Amino acid sequence: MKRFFILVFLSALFLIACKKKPKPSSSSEKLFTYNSLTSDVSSIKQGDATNIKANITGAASIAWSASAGDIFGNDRTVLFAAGSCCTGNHTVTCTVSDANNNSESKSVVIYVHS
Amino acid sequence: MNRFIFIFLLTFIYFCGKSQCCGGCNPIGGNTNQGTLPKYMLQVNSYFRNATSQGYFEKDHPSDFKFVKNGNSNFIGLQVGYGITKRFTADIETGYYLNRTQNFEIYGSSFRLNGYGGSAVTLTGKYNFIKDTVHDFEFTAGIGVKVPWGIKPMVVNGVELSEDVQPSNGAFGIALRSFLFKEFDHGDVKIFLMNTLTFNGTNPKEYKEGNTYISALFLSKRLIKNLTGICQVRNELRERAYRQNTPVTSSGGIRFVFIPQLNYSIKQKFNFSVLYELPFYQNYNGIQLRDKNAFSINLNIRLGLNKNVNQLCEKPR
Repeated sequence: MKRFFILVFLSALFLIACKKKPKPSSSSEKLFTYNSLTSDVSSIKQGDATNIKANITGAASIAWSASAGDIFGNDRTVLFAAGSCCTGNHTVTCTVSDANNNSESKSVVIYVHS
Repeated sequence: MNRFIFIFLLTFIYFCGKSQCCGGCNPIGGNTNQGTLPKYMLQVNSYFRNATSQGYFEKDHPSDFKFVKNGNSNFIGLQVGYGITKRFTADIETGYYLNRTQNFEIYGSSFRLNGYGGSAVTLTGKYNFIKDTVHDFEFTAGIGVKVPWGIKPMVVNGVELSEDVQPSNGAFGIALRSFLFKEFDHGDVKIFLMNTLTFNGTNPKEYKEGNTYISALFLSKRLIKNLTGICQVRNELRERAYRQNTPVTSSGGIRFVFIPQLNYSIKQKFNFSVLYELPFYQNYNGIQLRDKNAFSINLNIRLGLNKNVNQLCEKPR
């Protein structure tokens, strides 16, 4: 029994010790070009929506956020809509990042009126 | 503020040490946080709640506004309480959204946003100030600290969800509770009143949910041996929310909810209840999504970790 435990312990130790470390990125080269972030319109009524387009070339992952309101879609073009919650100016931000840990954010301001 | 809470807690602990009286067994009131437990008694209360919302209200009447077609949520809640002394009970309360969904119809196309995850953890200390076994009356008050499961907003497929479908508001808070209980010998009737004031902090996105003031009046009557009927009328008053120190026009309001409930008890240890929430008056600031209804199923287990504890649930004569 004791031998069994020693064997299990050694196997576990071996597996942990032999874990491959991820290779550090050899390059910090930016893999994308973030040209612009544009909205179809700069002002919408409550309950309405507008398309927002991120003009990007290259391989990148995209993250969207808004100070208020709802975002539909997850690609380079999304639909921003504001319900009854959100009158006033609201900022929609699109952050682009690549495998080399480069990232860039751009924002547009949409005015929501009642 | 921190100093105030610290002094309050110390005062609680001091009085707990001095406690001489008795904490009885309070009635079960569905998924609401209640009075104190007898010393060494452990209570586990778990529930499932389904809620739906549909249509908009402007002030107290339906609105033509169209945006969210409907919404629904499925929530699992857990409350664990323990009677530390005869007068002092500590409990922890948390919950998890299986889904918090809104369906939209915009320009003739359908969209859906769906959040899920833990909501908040609330740690509460409750002290039984008055326990009059002759007149079957008691008063308990407590304070709780609300800690969000996460302070970062939930992101699904690279898109940050709006506040309405986030499982947690990402803000700390304080909850003050009071519990008044009165039992009438005639006809096995019990009345209890619970008040909860929740003060919400501001989250990292500078969004502050409005403080809430909830009063719930319960009328409980034993129908047959193990079956109790409970009628609850709840009043919820919510202050306006603030976004970057600016009040959100369409937020806050008042609503009254009627909640009939049936409770089946097995050996005073296990209680199974079902309840239905029907809002009968809603008056909102601006235009807001209307709560349609909700139902819950609830399982409550009370275990005495000391042999004599269960006897305390018998009414003293």
